[in-house]
Amino acid sequence: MNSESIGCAVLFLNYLRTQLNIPWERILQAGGATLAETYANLGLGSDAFAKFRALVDRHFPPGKPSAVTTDNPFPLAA
Amino acid sequence: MDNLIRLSLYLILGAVLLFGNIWYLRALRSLFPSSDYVIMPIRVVGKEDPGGALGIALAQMLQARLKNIAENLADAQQQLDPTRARPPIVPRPSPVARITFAPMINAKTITMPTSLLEPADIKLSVAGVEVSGAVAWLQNLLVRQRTLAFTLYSADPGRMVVAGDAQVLSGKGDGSIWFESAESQEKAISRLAYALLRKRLTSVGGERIDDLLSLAEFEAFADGLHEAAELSRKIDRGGQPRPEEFAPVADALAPVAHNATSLPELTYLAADLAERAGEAANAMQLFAEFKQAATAPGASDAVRALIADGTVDGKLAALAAAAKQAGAFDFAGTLHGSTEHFVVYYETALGSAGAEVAGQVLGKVEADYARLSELFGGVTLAQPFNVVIAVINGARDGTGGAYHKGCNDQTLYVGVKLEPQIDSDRSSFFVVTQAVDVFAAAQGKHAECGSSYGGARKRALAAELYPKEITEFATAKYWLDGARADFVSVND
Repeated sequence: MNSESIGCAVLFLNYLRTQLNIPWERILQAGGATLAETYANLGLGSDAFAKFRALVDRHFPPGKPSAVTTDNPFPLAA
Repeated sequence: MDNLIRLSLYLILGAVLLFGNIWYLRALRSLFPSSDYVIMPIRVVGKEDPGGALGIALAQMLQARLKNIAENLADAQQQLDPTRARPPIVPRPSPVARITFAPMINAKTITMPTSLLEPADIKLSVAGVEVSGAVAWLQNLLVRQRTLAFTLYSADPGRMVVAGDAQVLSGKGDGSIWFESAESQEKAISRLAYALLRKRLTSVGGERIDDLLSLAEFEAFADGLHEAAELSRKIDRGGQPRPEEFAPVADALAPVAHNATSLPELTYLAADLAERAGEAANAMQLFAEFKQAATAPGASDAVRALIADGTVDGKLAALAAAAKQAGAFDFAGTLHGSTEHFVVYYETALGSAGAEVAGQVLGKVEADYARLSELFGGVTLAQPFNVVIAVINGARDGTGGAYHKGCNDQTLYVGVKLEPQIDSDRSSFFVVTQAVDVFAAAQGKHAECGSSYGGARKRALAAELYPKEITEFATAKYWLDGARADFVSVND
């Protein structure tokens, strides 16, 4: 666990909460050993990282400084 | 002559009638027990009981168990009565060269400031033991106003339902009894005895026990009081019970005491037992709760006296020092106060600034707890949190962070922000981060707190409650500006 892995995980949680508008109660109720499992338990499918990464990459192109100062830049235009 | 014979016959007949009437009245009276209440044979549904023998046996078991519990309660109250004359305590001589790391046990006997319960004053007998048929029907009919009738339904294997009405015992209020049991038939009868006593008893302050304690709490309370009395008796005989003997009694009574705030005598007893068990943090919380409860209008003189004469303050000060000495906390702490779910300390070296932050944190913890419980689907925790506000990693600017020693460890060490100015929200934010781990562990369906998922969970939820505080700790940029590896499908 380091800042990079936590950064990815916290971004994903905020993506669920703010981008997909899922209440915390439901996210927590879904449980799961990994975030992908939580995503699947929420009935959203098995492509958690791919969809998340595609959205983030569109708004914050890889290789360029993101200039993001918070853990929750969502919602982003889909 | 005829008149004399007739008079003699009348006299003889009158005497026979008189004796007959006396016999009749005695026989009639003997049908109805002199007890206050009659337990009808327990109706057993789902099991063979053709002659009704099982029902009568269960009723007799109930009668015996109820008497046993009531006597234990009365005995416990008498044993724990501080005004009771006791034999002088003669400690056992210790071997000269004995070295021990066990804490010194105070050989002073265990007491409660005042009695807790009014006497049960309940006399029971079992109906239908010696009579049957029409006579039993008549007995049932004539004593119906004071009968206790129960049904034990055991249709499913491993599960039974006990139901009945104890209105005649409780006098007023809800007299119904209904509980399910997955234990043995004997255990169910024992639990029924507790349920009946719970309906019957009132506190010395006049409150009904069934309004104050749930059935499970009452069982823990009655058993705990009995065990405490046994330990007290052991001390009276010159024995020195070990901390591990006090611990289970203290642990059983503490949750009951936390909930029954109108029974400060119980809180004091639980605090005393926790202290003897070496559970300094629990003892401190219970003494702090006792101190708060003792200020209530209905508190007894004996309870108030323990506050007025400094007994409780003295214990709290000694425990705070002991907590540090025993290594209970990583910092020398000062107890600031407690709520239902939190005991808040601050590092003593922080002085008045620590007290200020602790006071503000204390004012927010219950709302935060309620919100977290809501987010985690109504999860509640059996034990309270200990929060120690301290300078962590040498930081006084709020960047020190927070820690606890395991996902379900409820002693939380949280950093403090005193510079450039005091910001108690920073400490509250830290409290939430660590409390999230404990709630998640209690819910039992999440990635463990030390994983990247766990680290993200605590940050995201703490930011939900204290959104301004996350700014300095935001980590999203590290991933966005890095290789963007997949930590969604795997944990780090």
